[in-house]
Amino acid sequence: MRNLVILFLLSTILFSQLTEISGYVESEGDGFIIGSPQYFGYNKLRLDLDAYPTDALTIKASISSKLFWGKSEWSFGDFMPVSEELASTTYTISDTTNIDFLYSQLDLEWMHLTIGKQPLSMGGGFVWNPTNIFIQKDLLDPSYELVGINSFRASLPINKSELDIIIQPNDNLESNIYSAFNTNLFNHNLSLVGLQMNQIELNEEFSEESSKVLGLGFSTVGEIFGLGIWSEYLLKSDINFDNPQNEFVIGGDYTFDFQTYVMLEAFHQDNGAEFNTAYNDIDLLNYVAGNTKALAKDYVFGMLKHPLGEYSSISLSGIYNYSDNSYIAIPQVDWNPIDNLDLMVSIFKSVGSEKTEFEVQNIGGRLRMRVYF
Amino acid sequence: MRKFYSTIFILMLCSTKLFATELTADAILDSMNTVMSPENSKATMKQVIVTTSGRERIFEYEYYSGNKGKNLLMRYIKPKKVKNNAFLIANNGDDITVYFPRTRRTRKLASHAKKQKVQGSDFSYEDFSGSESWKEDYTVKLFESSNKNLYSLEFIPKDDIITSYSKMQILVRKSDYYPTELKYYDDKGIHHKTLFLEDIRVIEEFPTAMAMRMVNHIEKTETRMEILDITYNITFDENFFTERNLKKGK
Repeated sequence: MRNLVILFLLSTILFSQLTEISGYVESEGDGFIIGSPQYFGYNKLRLDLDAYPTDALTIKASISSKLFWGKSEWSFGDFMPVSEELASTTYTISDTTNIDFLYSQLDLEWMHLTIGKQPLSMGGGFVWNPTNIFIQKDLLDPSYELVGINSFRASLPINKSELDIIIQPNDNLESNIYSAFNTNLFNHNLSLVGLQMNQIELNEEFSEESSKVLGLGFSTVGEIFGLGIWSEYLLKSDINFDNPQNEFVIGGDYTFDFQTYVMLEAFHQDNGAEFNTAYNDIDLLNYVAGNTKALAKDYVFGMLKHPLGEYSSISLSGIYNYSDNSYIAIPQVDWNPIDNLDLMVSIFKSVGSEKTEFEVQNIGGRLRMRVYF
Repeated sequence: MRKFYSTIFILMLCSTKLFATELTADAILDSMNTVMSPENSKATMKQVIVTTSGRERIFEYEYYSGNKGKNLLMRYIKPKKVKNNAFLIANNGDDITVYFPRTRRTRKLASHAKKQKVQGSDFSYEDFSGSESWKEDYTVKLFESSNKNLYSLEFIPKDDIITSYSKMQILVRKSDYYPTELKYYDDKGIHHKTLFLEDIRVIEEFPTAMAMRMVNHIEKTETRMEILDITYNITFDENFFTERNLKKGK
């Protein structure tokens, strides 16, 4: 079925006179010491197809294939501080071909409509976005592109503001609904958010349970005294308002005259896992499954970045888990030696006592090369 | 009607030229803004960045300017890596929003980000903001120029203005009030960059620098910009300089 879709998509778009094809090839190699040194990586092809049948209509599709190499059989204990019973549970990763995006967009003067598997990014947070109920970023690589979400999105301009409505239908038609009123207030971008979502969580028997959750929140991006400042807040609860939960992010950034850039972001979630001497397996699996924004309650992310010449930069970023006192530090060099080529080298150094979130990996490294075409 | 306005415009230029020796700095700045800030423009630009090692990096982008340079939208066309990356500079540089097409994310930049280089070039976001607000934002003084065909203006930012420059010096042609050179001084008063405006031609009645060169005297680098095509005969609808339109790369 998937091949048919791809064939249809390719043939439709390739024969259009107004098609643009671009993409990239990305190769990544990773090495970590997990007891003993482990090596793995992938080669990825990403193909982006854009077509513009009329001025008001846009069709976009992205297909990616990933071929993995190296270690393919993983156990939960390789990357999570799970209990010994769960640590030896294994799974195998295999090559994938996915349609990352497939959507059409209609731009009218009074409405913008997007239907299909589309990228959804919202909220001011760099690493964490409490108001994004659709997808989460990779904690160790928050700026990496995310796959699309099958949804319907309508944006209605109202003077200089906008009403944004996103509906993600589920198989039981209990849709995730996000609505936001986006405006500008005192030179700050402000989004007032109301949402409904199906929260999925694992129960004690490790089976999924779904419950309807309502949420109210906001997101701001602006500046105070020359500092870039952003915040994001979500209050969510079940329909009876029995168990209200808060999630928030606050962050700031600054560029010094000597071009060094510094960023700090703090995140809190009431429903984060408790850490005493270890985390509960259920909490760990909920996090890995993407059912929670993060594992623990409180985190701080920091980044320091400085350009080295015109096309390279050196940075040091880190995430500190305030709840279990563990952290991971990531020094990284980015280099763009010629047009359309990105190189990235990073090292991951984890520090924490036994069974903490970042204790498992010890030390690792990553080399990534991306060639755009 | 258009011809009528052109005639008035030329007459105004000629009349100010007659009294050139008595002009004040503010009057010269007003005249410069008149010739520098057509109501709207659309251009395709080529940007060549000469790195410290002498290598050249070439970018191409679309450039849209509206409301006399108050609003600006730039969208990269080449190379593939940055295609459809775009930024919007609104309200004379007070509001900068960047757009990343791979994540379809827009981000409002705080004023500190104006200092950042745009795609590794010698231009910062701040350098792209229009000159319309300079009269309010700077104290302008007129100085003797060693070249009798040029006015020399000095711009000192007022206390409440956030800028990475402590001073700008601009050389302006007496013949048509078009600038030929802008010198930027950093917060320590060191001459940091110079923008040369070259190959000045009259396009649709407006003097236009078809080539610009920003020389960074500290880092010994240079960025050249060439106008590949330009028109001033264009109008934009009211939603053109908005975040929504920023996302619409083609």
